[in-house]
Amino acid sequence: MRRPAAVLAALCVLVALALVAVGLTQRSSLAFTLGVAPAVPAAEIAAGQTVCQTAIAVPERFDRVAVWLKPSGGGGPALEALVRDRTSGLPVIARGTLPAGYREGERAIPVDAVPAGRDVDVCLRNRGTGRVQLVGNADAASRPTTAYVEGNPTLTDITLVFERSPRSLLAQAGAIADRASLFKLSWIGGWALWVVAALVLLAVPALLVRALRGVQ
Amino acid sequence: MSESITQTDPSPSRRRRVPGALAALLAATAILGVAWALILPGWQAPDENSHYGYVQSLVDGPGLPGEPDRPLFATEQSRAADAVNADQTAASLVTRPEWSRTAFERWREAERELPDAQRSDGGGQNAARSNPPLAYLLYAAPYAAAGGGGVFDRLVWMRIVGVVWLLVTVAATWALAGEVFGRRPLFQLAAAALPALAPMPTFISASVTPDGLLFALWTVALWLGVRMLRRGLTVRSGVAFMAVVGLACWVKATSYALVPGALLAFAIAAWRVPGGRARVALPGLAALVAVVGGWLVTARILARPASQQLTSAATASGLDVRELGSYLWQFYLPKLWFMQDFFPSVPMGLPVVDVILNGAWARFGWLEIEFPGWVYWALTVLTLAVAVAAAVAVWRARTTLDRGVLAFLALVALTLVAGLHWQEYQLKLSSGAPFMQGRYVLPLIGIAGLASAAALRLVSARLRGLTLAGMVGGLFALQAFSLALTLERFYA
Repeated sequence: MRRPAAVLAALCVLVALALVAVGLTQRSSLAFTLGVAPAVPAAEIAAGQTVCQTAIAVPERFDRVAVWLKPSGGGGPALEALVRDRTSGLPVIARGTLPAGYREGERAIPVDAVPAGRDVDVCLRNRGTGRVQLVGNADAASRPTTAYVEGNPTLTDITLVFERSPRSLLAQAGAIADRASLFKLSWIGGWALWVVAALVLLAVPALLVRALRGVQ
Repeated sequence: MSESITQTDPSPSRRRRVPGALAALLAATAILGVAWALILPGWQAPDENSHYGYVQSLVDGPGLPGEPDRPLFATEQSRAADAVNADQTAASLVTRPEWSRTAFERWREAERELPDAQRSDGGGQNAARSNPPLAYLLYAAPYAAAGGGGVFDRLVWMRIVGVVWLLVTVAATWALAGEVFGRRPLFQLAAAALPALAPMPTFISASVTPDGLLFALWTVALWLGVRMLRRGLTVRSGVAFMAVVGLACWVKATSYALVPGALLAFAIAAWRVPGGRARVALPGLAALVAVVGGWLVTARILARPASQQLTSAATASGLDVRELGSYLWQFYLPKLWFMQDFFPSVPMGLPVVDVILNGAWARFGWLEIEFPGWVYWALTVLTLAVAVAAAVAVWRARTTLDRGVLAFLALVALTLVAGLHWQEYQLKLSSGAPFMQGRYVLPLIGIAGLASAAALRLVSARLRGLTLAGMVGGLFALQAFSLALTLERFYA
């Protein structure tokens, strides 16, 4: 069984290498989400109107905001995105524009970079002539935040996804371990996920090789 | 399979020792199970919220869930689910669980302020309420032991108990293969590697659900049934087998599908007893009646549905044989032009592949996490190849194999699949809703393990070791990539 065990060991090494390769080539631009599943029309804005999703804690830097849009009629009206800092009197700290003419679906609006640690409102102002619906969910979807149209609560939340320049999954490994350790056993941290990864990639193959050797 | 008959049993002391290969496989299984338990965000497995709510209702009050006037879940669970963004994340690839440390610290603060009463104000009609209580009673131990910790501590410890059930499934598959193929560790490893390393049994067992215990008890029952057939019915073997079959009925109504096969195996084993059949057989039958009857009586006293799925399916009206035939045809074969479409949600492909095979191999979270399509094609081809090879192996051994064993295993598998089809057919007629899921056939994982080992027998002895290395390596690859896929979906 020496040869089969060697083959299995080689296969396990290949698996680890393949995981590293995928981790290097697979990229993600997600910074964080508001955590609102896009299910229903959550707000509608006419020409000149503004919708704001308020009180959003920013755990990671972002420079794009993705929204789910349903324009009425043909192409959607131009939208201006404004990010306001709640901690210092709501000045606009980032802005960007979505040109008119988009179709229904997810659209990412580039904005100036917003650093982590801020508490912000994200507003979309209709700069065109047509109307557009923003997709989101009930107000309970994201408890700390809520959506307002022209200052009036909509009792809904808008689906917002915050993005940044794409990074490989491997480059995010530390962040992934930290995130995965939250809301689990109270005494573990990101280190525990590193231990688990080491056990899965080193100890499990060793044990499987041991098992294969043991059946000769 | 005749080789097993001529095997000499090892000495009793050697028999009691766990074989090194099995111990290593169990250790690997435990690591993978704990990895799943830690990686999965709270309540991101099918109905995990309902199963957790059932246990919380049992331990903290008001008792068995199902009260129509009460909330589905206790306030503590609902607030924890909000904090981790469980409901919005469920089945929605766009959303993520909460991953801000600030939000986590805020939850920890809020959790400390929650009064005890908010742990006992659930108990409503959650989706798990009609399940029998055995799995939930077992989950109550880690729940209570971790009671001083937070909600998520309790959830993770409950998941880890599920990993123990997976270890039972793996060990029972090893033992089952030992009965079928004789004590030949190579075949035992080939069989047990499937529940140990295939990702779906690990994912399901490492989440809070009665299904993990169901897999374990079904596999133990299969082992004890085959053992009884191979070694002969004794009072002990009969009682043990029937008691386990009965216990499985305390876990999920699905287990009633185990009863016809169990009765057949028992009848065959009793028939083989040379004399005094009644004396040997009656205690086993009494054990089945006592354990299953115990649940039926308990359910009646507590005004619970003892076998809701069974009774609703049995009492359903409006059987149209042609329609049922059409449904079954479309499940396994391409729909013909004149047939009513029973599976509009599976426009391409076949439900048996899309729902059963793909779902039994790898579909995680609330089933929204999937591999690219080509992975499932490869898995389908491999599965079919193993199934055909196993059938050829059985055919070749037809003159020597124990037909009682074959009849027992076949009837168990057929009854489960037939029951699932009947249930889904009724649901399709009443609401059009799909019911079938790949994980529903996982109680048969022990039989699938036997098929893998049987397929290996077709390989020449010289190449068996290498083939087994390929099988184990392939399963490990699938498992590792499943973990990575799940990490990416939730945290990247």
